Amino acid sequence: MESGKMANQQTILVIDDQIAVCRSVEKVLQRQGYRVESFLNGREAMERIGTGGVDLIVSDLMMPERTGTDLLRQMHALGITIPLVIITGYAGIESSLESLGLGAMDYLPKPFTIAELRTSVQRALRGGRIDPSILPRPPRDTYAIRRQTWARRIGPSAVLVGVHPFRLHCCGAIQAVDLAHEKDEVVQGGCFGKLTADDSAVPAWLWSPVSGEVAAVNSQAIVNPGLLAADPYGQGWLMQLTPYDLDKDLKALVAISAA
Amino acid sequence: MKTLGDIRELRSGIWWLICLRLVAVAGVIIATVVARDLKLQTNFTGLYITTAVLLAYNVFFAVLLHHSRGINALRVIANLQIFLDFMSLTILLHFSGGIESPFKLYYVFHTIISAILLSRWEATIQTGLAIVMIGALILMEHAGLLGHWSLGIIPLERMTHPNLYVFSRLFVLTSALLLALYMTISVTERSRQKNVELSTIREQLTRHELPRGEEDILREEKLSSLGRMAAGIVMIGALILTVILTNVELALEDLDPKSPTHESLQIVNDEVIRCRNIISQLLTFARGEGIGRKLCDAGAILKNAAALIRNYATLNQVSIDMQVPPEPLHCRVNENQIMQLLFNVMLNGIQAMSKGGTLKVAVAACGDQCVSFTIEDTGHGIPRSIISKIFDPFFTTKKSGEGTGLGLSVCHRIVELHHGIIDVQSEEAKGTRFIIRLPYV
Repeated sequence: MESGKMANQQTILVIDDQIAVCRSVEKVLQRQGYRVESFLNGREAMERIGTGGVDLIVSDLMMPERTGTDLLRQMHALGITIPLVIITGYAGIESSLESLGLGAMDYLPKPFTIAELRTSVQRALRGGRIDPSILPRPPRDTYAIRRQTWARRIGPSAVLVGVHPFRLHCCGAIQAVDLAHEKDEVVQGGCFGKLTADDSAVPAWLWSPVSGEVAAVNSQAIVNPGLLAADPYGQGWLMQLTPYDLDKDLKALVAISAA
Repeated sequence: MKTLGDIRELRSGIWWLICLRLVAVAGVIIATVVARDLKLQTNFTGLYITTAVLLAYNVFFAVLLHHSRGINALRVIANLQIFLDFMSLTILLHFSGGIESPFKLYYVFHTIISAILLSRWEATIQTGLAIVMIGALILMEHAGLLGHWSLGIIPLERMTHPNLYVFSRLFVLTSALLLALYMTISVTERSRQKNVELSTIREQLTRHELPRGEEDILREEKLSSLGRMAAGIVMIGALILTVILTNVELALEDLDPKSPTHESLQIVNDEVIRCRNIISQLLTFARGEGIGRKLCDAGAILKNAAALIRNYATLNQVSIDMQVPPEPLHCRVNENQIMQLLFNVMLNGIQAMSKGGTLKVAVAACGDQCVSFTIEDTGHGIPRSIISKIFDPFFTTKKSGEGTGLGLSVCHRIVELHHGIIDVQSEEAKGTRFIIRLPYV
């Protein structure tokens, strides 16, 4: 069990230009004991963030004046590390890659079920409390969609992909791993699998860092999901892909190795 | 049939030949210098003159090519070059030992080059002329009518080889050239055949795609407005559904699961979830799917699509006649998109049969790496005048309010995304057949 504030002491900001959405999200989260404050535009929300005490932000992307990505960029520039979950009505691969790349914890297309919203919030809050120094260091030449999934070139036409340990910590113990199959095609930013954790029935979707064809799947990881947490960059690899255009894909990713 | 592509190909081929000749000239110069150093006796003057002539006409042809347009001019240039090359080679042969010359091999290269650049008859004639030239040269040397310059330390004024030597060498060279010619022609014919097939397929695709000119621009506009419209609808839909879904779920949490209100709300909940799945398909950002292609069984996909439309068919007194091979028919496709595609085409077929009828659906392998779906109805058919427009977005023959005209344009887009071909054959009052071919990629 993590230490930290009890739910009723945690403050969540909801930013959406539609009042009905704000009210609905408020109701859902308030029932779980969170304190919720709604904002109809990003500018006012930023001011509120500046005054402190915010544990999580749930934000729409398409808003007048300031979009969700503007908000992410501004927070990144100011060094604000409050976890942020994106909810969006027009979900697409590009905006998901962009949002996650800018540090969003999760990307939730509308309409979402309340279970999905609650799980996302829960996991993001957990993520906000993680001390990054306890996470295993990635080996050389590893790239990632921020803290979601990683990719590492292991040969001229071979890339290993797996899940970032940060994401694993957000979800808790992993019960099951479901992945795409050999010869399936995956797209950068598209979903290549899901993890079922024991914290919720809602799976944690895995977004592929690279586009390509699945060459091999790590059956060891499927049989023993504990491998993922134990050695996320090594034995816990999930799939081997034959990339279509690795250099192009790398431009959208972040290099995460220390060396 | 000559196309712009052919002209471009020939032009670049000739440029390549000109560059190659420069390399050859360099080679000859080096060889001459080496021969000089080795104190070999031969007609250096002759070699130098040949080199100079080669360079001169190379430049001449480069300039000519630059100023030439049109396929016929290019063909004349190509043929002239090849002929002059063969002649230069023959002269070179004369000054480097005739029948003993190591440069005999260059003839083979040149035959291959001519077969690649020129048509099969032009190449054959050129090679024939070359053989005649070589033959004439060798025989004249052999008969003493022409001097013989061997690449030896002691030059011989006359060739003193036995008949057998000369004729056998000549025979070997001639047969080598003819074999090279034949081989290269077959290879290039085959690749040209493939190119023709490819452009036919491309043409077919274009026929159903964007015609030239104004219609082109109009269709592009429609497509982009279609995209914008879809985006707008989806966003509003998603927004409204969010509010509905969350509030319904919250209400469900509060109600006693056994109450009838709970049951009603649960139905609403399920329908909203179903609506959400349809939206995600439209956006192709589906949860749990890689959006890419998967290995699927085409037969299974067809069966699923047919199952979806069965009720509608029965309501319209249409029976479905399905032919699916017993063993799985593998293809790499986006299953959802293909289901949507087949569903839409079948829907059109059923709607065309206002008095009922039979919808024949089938899937089979078409060739080695290709899967073919056929959907055939016995409805009112499509008039010739509009058959080219059926894939246009917003084009519909239905009365207002009955159809959006989007179905077939979406189908066309899906086929395009899969690098396939969609063909439609129709006869008024008889029926319509859609054939969708998808390559295994």
